[in-house]
Amino acid sequence: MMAEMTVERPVDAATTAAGDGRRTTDEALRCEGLSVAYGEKQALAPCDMTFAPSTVTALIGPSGCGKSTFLRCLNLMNREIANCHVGGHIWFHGQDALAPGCDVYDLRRCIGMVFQQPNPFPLSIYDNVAYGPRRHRRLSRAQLDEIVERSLRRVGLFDEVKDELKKSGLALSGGQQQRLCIARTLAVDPEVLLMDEPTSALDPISTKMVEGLMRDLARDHTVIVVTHNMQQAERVSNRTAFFYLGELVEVGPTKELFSHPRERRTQDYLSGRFS
Amino acid sequence: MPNQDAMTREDEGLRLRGARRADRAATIVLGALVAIVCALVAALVFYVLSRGGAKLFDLSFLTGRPQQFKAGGGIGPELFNSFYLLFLTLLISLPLSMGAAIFLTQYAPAGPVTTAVKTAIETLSSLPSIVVGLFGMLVFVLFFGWGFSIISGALALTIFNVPILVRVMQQALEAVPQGRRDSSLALGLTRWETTIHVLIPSAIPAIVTGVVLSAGRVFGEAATLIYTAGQSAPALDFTNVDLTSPTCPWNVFRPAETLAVHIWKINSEGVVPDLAVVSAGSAAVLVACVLVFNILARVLGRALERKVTAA
Repeated sequence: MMAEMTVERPVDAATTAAGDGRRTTDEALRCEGLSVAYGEKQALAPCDMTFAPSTVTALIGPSGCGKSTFLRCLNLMNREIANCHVGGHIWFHGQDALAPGCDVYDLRRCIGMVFQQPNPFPLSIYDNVAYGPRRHRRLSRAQLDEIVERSLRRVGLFDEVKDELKKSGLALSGGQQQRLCIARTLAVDPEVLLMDEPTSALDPISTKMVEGLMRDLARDHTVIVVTHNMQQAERVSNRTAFFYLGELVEVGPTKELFSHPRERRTQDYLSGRFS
Repeated sequence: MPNQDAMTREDEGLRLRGARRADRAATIVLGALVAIVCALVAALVFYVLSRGGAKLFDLSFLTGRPQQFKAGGGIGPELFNSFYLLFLTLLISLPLSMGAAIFLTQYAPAGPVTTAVKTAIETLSSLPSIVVGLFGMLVFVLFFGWGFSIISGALALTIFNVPILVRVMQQALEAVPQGRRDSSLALGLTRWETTIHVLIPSAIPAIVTGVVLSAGRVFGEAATLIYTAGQSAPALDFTNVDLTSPTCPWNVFRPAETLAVHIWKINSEGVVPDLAVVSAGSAAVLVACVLVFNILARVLGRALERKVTAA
């Protein structure tokens, strides 16, 4: 799949992208003046943020603060909403994802997304995972088997379901379904993984599994996760960004942000003075 | 103030008791309304079947030719015509309405044009069927010169059926959880791939149920066909495969009276001595077929639902 990408891949860690020279080695994704408006109403004020490779970044803030809107910009899911205007730049491998020529389908393959509700397709477990790879390129049965097994192993689901891969994905438990959805996303081999409150519909045990998975995936992926659970942000993330009223208030290393927030609004939110 | 407290508590108690009484009353009234509806349907079905039910098992009636003047006519050609017309109607209207429903739910930008189209489809679905029939006569029978024929009838029935199918399919597609669609798009798939591989399989149980129910409606439709497919049933010869011959059953340019039209015709201008028996028998066959369609819709819908969702 790598070969057919139109999005440029890093050939060598030291290379910077041609022309603009904007990309450095320690950034996987960078937003510059990224703003979102629904019709006339601004949902996100222009903000800048850089995501380093192999890190987990948590986006926190009260409901309606723009964090999910921000997340959905990163793989252009906002394009599916009529009336939604995205401004600024999203630099990914030296290319602006928001530039007119950018192929949204290629971009989404490189920047995968997991949603709040576990939502397997009404297909078998095997077909759920094989769904993306099958659509994107021709694969032999053996290659496909290999991808399915690797993806399911990666989320720790393979041993639980290996004897019933033909069973419907909808017959699994909620936590298993969510891990299946993560496996489905991993099967197309993305670099960046966006997660929109991935554990808010799960029980504590499944939540713990998914959190462990996020840490594990961050070894070779850039993970960006929206969460309402501040303990979760503290547990899993390297960096945390706080959004409030459609504005990125502050972003920094998680420990620092939780112990010494620079902004008054962050401090108030963390101490529960407003929500 | 203990006194006042007691009073509020008493008020509260009264209010609760009132609400409970209202709830009980509503249960009884709603139950009675449902009972009336059920009784109506049951009485109708019972009446039709008790008068003509015996004919359901009379093979010579089911396959025999209708008679013009003598007693003992059958409904063979009419029964065949009904099914053939239904088949052709679905053949034309299924792809049409599927395409329209996919476009309206997945592609059409929200705007005045889309709203106008949706309103038009809704209006079309409540058009009186005799109006559709007369329109079909003007356009297909006269303007295109196809005469009273199966093709004219099938196209008129398509106009009658498409709006309903579009609505059923639209609702089925819209009922697919948004996250499922988003997940597919987020994997880098196009809208079309998402529609074909995720949305339609998710919506298929509801779509099948809707299609079979609409088939029941089409099967029993008479007014649309009187002036399009015609009121005569030429004798059919099932060994004849010459598609241009009027006796070839598959010839779409031959006139074809259906079962529903047959009931209307013998009752309005029939001269056969046993017209009451023929009419009752035809009605029983028609009702039985529609019942089978409805049961089939439920069974198929449930079976597909189970296949799609569970183990």
